[in-house]
Order: sequence, then C-alpha cells, then structure tokens
Amino acid sequence: MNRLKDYRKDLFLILGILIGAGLIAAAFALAKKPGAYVRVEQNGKLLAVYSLEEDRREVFAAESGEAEKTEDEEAGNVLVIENGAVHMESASCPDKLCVKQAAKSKVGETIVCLPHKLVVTVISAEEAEEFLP
Amino acid sequence: MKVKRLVTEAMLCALALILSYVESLFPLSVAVPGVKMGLPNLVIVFALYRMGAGSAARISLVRVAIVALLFGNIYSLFYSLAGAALSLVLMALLKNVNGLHTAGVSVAGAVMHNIAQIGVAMIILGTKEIIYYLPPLLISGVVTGVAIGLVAALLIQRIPVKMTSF
Repeated sequence: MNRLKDYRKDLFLILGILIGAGLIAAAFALAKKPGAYVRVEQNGKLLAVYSLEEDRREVFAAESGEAEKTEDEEAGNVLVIENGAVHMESASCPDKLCVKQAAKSKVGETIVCLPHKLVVTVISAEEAEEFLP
Repeated sequence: MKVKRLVTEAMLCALALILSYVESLFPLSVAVPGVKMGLPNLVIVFALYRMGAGSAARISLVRVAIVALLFGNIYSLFYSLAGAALSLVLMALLKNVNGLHTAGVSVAGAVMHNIAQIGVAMIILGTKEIIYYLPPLLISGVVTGVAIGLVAALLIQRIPVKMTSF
C-alpha cells in the first residue's frame, strides 16, 4: 500500500476544494440582507405577502393543490411572524420538517413544506412591491 | 478503430449504465438536490487511465445519451452532458500531472461535475440562488470522489492488462 506522503498533491487539491467551499459559504452568510416581507406560495400559486414588521399568525390549509386559507389550525400549516422573523409553528404533515426549521428573516431564506407544497420565502421590500397594492 | 476496443468500450458503457441505475435506486438526498455517489465515474476513471481520454469520452457520451433517453428528459440531458464533458476534460488534464493519483483526479472530476450542473441550473432556471447549493455539493463531491478514486485505483491495478491491450 502506498504511503500517505505519496498522496501529498491529492491532499492539497482536496484541502483547496474544501477551503474554497468554506469561503463561498462564508461569503454567502455575510452577503445575506435582512428581509422586509414574506411571500407564501402553494403549488406555485401566490397565496399571500406579509410584512415582517407586524406580528401575525396565519393558517394555510393542507389540501393538496387547493391554495386556500382556513381557520382550522389542525388542518394545515400555522405560519407565525414575530420579532421580525417567520417560522412555522405547526403542520399537519407527518414529517414536520418545516416546523423544525429555525425562524427566518434574511432575503432568500425559505421554509418549505414539501407534503403540502407550501413555500415560504423571505423577500426584500423591492421584490414585494409588485405584490402590494 | 479496432473491434476489440469498440467491444470493450461498449461493455464498459453498459457497466456505467448499470451503475447509473443502481445509483438512482439509492438516492443520497441529504436535503440538497444533486448529491450522489458518482458510481459511473468509476468506469470513466478506469477507462481514462487504461484506455485513454478518447475511449473515456466515447463511453461517457453514450452513457449520458442513453440515461437521458431511458430515465430523463431534454433538461436532464443538458445537466448530465455539461457535467460529464467538463469533468472528463478536467480529469484528462489532471491525469498528466505528476504526483496526482486517481483519488485527486476523481475528486476534481466530481467537483467539476457539480459546478457544471449548478451552472446549467442557473442558466435554465434563471436564478442565482441555486449557487447556495454549491458548498455542500463541493464537500459531498470530495467525499464520494475520494471513495470512487480509491476503488478505481484498485481496478486499474487488478484488472488484467490483456483486457485493455489493443
């Protein structure tokens, strides 16, 4: 079996790639801007745009393909905006991956509920303009 | 082209196809789309070292075309083609660097494959945000690339020379 020393160049190459990945990730983290609005889409259809500044609590029905709001909190996703960030408080889907995600507040961050095809995206004030009256 | 070379290339291509299929049975979906083992690269690295860049390129091209016909669509063809072509070019160049082994070459190929696919996705979908997937893809590329490269080294060493002497 070859000595590890013989693999010096391979290790340098790998190290270089890992450092590159780290730098790119760090640059992304630093470049994130605070968001202003939250866009809610289901099945690609726009449901709502909310400001991050007002605290609120909204329920979205789980009916696949039917983009609609409901009052029944057991039946869908409960979206909560508080302290300038958005999170999913509860969901009627089995995996609850969206509930486990941390609160989001930076532009481009998303919370996705795959079973209900619900996508929540934090957007900037400029992006929100076209949706607002 | 000698018949034996043609037949060997066809056989390796069939092997790469099977590996593509096996790979699709075990999706390594770690929250990031595009993370995969890269099993077909085992065949490509072997062909590159034992039969040269021309053979590796023919095997890779035919594999990509058949995979797109069987399991994919026109978009997946673009993704695979860009990934396969760029990664092979880079691997063929790095193969000639002294002191670099199949592990390093295979890692470079895997990473190049990921970069190319992210690039195509950015063009097709028209969004820059996909680039967020790049760092985790680079890391997974390193891990799978090393594994594939080390196994490829064994194959290159052990498979009888007779099979690839034309």
